[in-house]
Amino acid sequence: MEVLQQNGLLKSLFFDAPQDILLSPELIDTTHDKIANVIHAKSGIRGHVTIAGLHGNISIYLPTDFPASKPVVCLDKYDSFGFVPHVDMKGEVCFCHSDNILLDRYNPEGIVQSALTMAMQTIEKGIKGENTDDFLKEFDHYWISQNHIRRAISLIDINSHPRNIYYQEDNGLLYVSDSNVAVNKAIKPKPLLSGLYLPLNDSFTVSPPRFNTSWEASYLKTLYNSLNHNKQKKLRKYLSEKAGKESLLVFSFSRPSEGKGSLGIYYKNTPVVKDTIPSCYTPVSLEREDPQHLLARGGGHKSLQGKKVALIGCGAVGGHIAFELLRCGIHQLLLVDHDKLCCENRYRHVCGHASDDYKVDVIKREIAAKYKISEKIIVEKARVQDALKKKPEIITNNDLIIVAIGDPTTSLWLNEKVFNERKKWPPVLYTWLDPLSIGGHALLTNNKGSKGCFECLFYRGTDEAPYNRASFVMPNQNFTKSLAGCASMFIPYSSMDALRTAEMASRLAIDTLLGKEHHSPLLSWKGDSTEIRDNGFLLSSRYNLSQDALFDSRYEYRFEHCRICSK
Amino acid sequence: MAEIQKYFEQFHGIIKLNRFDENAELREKRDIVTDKLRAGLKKQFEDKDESCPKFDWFNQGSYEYDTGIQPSLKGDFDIDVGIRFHLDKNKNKPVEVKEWVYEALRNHTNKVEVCRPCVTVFYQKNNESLYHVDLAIYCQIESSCPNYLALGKSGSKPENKVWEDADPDGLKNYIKDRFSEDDKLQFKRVVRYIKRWRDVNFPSDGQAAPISIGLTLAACNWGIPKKNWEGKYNDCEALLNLTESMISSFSYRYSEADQSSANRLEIKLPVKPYQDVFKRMSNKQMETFKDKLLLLKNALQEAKTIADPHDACKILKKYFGDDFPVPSKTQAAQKTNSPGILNSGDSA
Repeated sequence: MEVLQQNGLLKSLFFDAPQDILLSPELIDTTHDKIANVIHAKSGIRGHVTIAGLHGNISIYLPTDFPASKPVVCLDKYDSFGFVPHVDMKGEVCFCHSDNILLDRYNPEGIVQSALTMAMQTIEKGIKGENTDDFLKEFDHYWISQNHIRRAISLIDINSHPRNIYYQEDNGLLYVSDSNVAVNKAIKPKPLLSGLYLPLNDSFTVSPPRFNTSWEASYLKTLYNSLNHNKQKKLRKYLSEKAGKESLLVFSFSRPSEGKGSLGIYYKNTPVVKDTIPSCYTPVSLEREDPQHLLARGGGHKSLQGKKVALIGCGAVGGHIAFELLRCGIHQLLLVDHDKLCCENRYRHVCGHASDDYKVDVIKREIAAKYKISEKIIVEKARVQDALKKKPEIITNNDLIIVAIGDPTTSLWLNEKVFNERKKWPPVLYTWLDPLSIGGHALLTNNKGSKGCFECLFYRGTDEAPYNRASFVMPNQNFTKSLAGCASMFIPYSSMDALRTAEMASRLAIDTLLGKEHHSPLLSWKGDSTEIRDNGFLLSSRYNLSQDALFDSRYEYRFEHCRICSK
Repeated sequence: MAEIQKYFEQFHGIIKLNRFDENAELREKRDIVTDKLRAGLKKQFEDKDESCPKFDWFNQGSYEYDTGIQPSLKGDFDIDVGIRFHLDKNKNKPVEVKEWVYEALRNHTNKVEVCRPCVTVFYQKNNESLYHVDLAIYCQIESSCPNYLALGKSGSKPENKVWEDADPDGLKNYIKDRFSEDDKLQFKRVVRYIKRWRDVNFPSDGQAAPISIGLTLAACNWGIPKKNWEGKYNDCEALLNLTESMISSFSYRYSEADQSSANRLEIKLPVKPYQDVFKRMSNKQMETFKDKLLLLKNALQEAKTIADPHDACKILKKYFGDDFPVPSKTQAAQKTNSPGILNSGDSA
């Protein structure tokens, strides 16, 4: 909308038509207006309003791309109507989140009116004290406005246990951790110092400092007094130990419906005080990078964090599974694979190919680089048969085993081993791909004593030669394309098929670990059959089942006379 | 679950009446009958010095729908033919038209009968019935006009001698278009199974046995194609599903025949005259019908859950008769002659 049009709209709304909200309106000279310059607005209007009995000015700015962006509503000062939530330092009223609204661009007048009304309602709630809790939601906003604020990356678990923590400084940035080894390996020369973590009592509602000010001594005393005896004792002990030296306190507090918040207090030279928190502090803003926090934000499941999974086969499918499990919160992984990455893997392995290293090592390195949680990733550079011979318990002592080797002979061998001593083994999930983008499968076995196993798919008491009945292609067709003899045989499929299969297998793995899956389903996805048909290959009757029918029949593959699972 | 589909299909192979093999003789007889009819009518009307009415004929019944089964009793082969006279129902009485047909064919074989819905020509050898041709007599003024079926015979009460609304083409299309491709093949198999079950479990005379069109329409109404997890057809499941649906569709209804209400299965024609095809069954017969369906359901359920095909088929044989194959007891997996190294498309 052109500037002239924008001004015309404001005039028609507030000058031409009778209205009693914005009194004494006047157009803003945006070229000389500080806020208009900051938000790049070319038109705006200011007037006088009365909210809950208090009087003050309010300004409405239209951004240049209005009505594709919402108007900006500002007060003369952030505390023109008292210190209320949702007003930032420059006086802008945060009346709604841009993500959660739809602006009706055919009704620009309506947008302006709604913006003004919503902003005034926000202020009114603040004046009446109806949204005081929102101060806690926006605590960080106020906290970082303090002078000399320091930044910190926090890996500590924000829980209810007061304890010693560790921190390290690098380039002015603090790294805070529960562990005294892995604060930040990259900054070894800097000394590792001890800090103190103290959760504030849930019943205590912390008040943020006003913009650009720090907590006063009296408030810090109130804070100290709110702590229980034990925490006060810990605090006194820590501060006296640190007297004259630098120190770091991390406090956490409850936020209604928003989980825990945290703040840091740093002393360059810890003063000696009695029964309070010293007021000459440097505020620290904590950027939480602890997995608990990030997982919750990313959809991870807290109850998965203690789970252990063995992943046998770290190729195209297995590689994706490793990372998906990790992102769901499973941080104790055993990776078993004897293969090295080679250049042929470059476009179909999750890690690509940079050097001819073992797949398990490459995955572990990438996990360390991206997720900072490599200490619980164990690698076994061996075939599963050898790994089992050497130390079976590192494989069996898991909550789930995922077999993504794509080799039916070995999978059948392992399946028999599992069912020979099924009580010793956790659930075992097999996953594999069909050729030429036609589909992928995931089969859960040995889950909660249910029947059905990998063998059921191959041997069904008939005199037919064994074949995988889950497959979407007819048996006994040769799909292996050889580029340069036996050494580089590979089955052609795209990375996306591997990803899709891995996604399905990972979901089944999570459902199993969370106890949501009570039986042993066979899950399959089916893709487009053009390539199969064009190459003269034949599809199985199972391919003709609809996706719904495939799902509905997921438990029916079980064979009553199975030599392995019906013994 | 026992792998019994194979045996259902073997059974089907045994009971199926092929349209173009076993029926060849019937087709030949049908053609002879229609030729005879044409010649007989011509003579009849020449003798009366009247113009001979024109007619066309068409196949109907299981021959047309391809749901025929081998009769379990000798001599029960039949073929249904529709004879459609091009005339006005208001100018000709239904029984009179049937009498024309009777007259024209009377001397063709030893036994020709006028029945309530048709005229039947029996072929016999040594006084034993070999097969018969049922001629349903329709009238239609001209194509695209409604069809009417001639009901009644000479001794019938006047109210039973009527031209009844009919739509043989509509019925044929409804049944033929109900399922397509391979689902249609399963539908036909299921109809044949249940018809054979009917033949084995009900007396063939009177109204005790549910008529074929009723069973066929039941499969149209409630049949659902059923496949197993491998995408292969599962006839046992399809038949069980149909049986269960039929049982659950019994409801308390009034019977004209009995002049009282009872638990009955009503299956209406999907075309004119839209009447209940089982209306002639008595309440008592309906009760028996339901009891037998319940027994069938239990048998199918049991067969489905029994592990050994031998035991499963033995149960089914009781309900489908001696043509149902029973394999020998499952042997421990035998050594096969198949190769030990096989192709696999699996990868990861």
